Amino acid sequence: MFPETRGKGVQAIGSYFLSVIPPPRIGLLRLGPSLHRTGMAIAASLEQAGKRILLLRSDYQRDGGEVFAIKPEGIRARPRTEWKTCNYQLVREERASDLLLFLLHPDIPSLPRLLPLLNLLVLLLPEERGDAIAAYRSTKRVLAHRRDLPLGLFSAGDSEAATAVLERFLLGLHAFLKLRPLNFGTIPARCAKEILSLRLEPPAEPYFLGTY
Amino acid sequence: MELIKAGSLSPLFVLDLLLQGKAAIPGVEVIGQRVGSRGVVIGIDADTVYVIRVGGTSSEVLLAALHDLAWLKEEELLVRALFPQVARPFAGVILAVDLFPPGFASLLPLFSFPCRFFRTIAFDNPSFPSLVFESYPPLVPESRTVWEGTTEEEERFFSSW
Repeated sequence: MFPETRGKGVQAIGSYFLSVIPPPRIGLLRLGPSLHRTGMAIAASLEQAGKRILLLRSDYQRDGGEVFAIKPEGIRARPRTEWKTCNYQLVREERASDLLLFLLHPDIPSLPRLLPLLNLLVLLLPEERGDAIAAYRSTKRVLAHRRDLPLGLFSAGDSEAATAVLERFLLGLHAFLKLRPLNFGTIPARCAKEILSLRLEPPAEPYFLGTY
Repeated sequence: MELIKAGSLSPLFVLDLLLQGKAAIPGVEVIGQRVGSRGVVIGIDADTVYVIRVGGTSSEVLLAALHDLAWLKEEELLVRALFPQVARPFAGVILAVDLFPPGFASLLPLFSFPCRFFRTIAFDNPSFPSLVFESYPPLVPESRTVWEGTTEEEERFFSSW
């Protein structure tokens, strides 16, 4: 009797580990120059808050292409023999993470595909007033693809100018686009705290699909 | 792990990864060997048997895939003999490429046979390069209207304050 039930037990245990709820997905959209560090700082703040983060960055290339990168320290070391493929590795990493972060450029070709998959989009606003109109144009173009997406605003740099840009966008997005974005402030730690307070619903399916 | 576009990997290498089970196309079971003298790689989803072609651009591989498709139809008996579990309609084309030209998705209804497209993204790693395939075309909502462009009022609001 025991040998018959043991197989089912192992199968059940395996199913348990493979059916972990996928982590919510957050897009960090860089709407100005030098905002890569800002995105990394927000990711670091989330990690400091005890969350396991898998961060992917997607950049726009001059030839119209797109490059993906994964934060090196975002991939936890495992024995090589455990990984059949990178696909498999990413499947595992996603399931071992509390949040999946995409650090995005507004011109990448895959943005229309990614937006429907996100639970939250955080606009990383420029610190300088002079960059605000370009950031708004990009915002409007991007949000045309997903107007119902929960939206947060974060302005890089804890300065008077950054605060002014943030307030301008809060007002402007409400006035012109009838949106009510959340105010995530100008400090990465506050932004992380605001994100965590949202208690985002996990997606129905994981982002990375693998073979087993 | 770093960068990457799939163009850094040769099509033959991509096919080898698929055949070795080291890469997967979502929803497609890749038959684990090349078939016939043409070396065509075939795959199966819930409905159809496909030939699989990979490459950098769709135009580069589409013609070859159509030739493969013709071969697959001619060799249907051979394929059925090799894979008796295959009792599905023949045959379709899977294109897995790095880049699709603008508007390529609009050609889909013109094909008189089943076809599926995937964009290839490669993750280059010194120890083990590997792949992710995503369905093409991407999902894009239709109506944009007032969301396109910015008005003078918006320009003033965000430019001068």
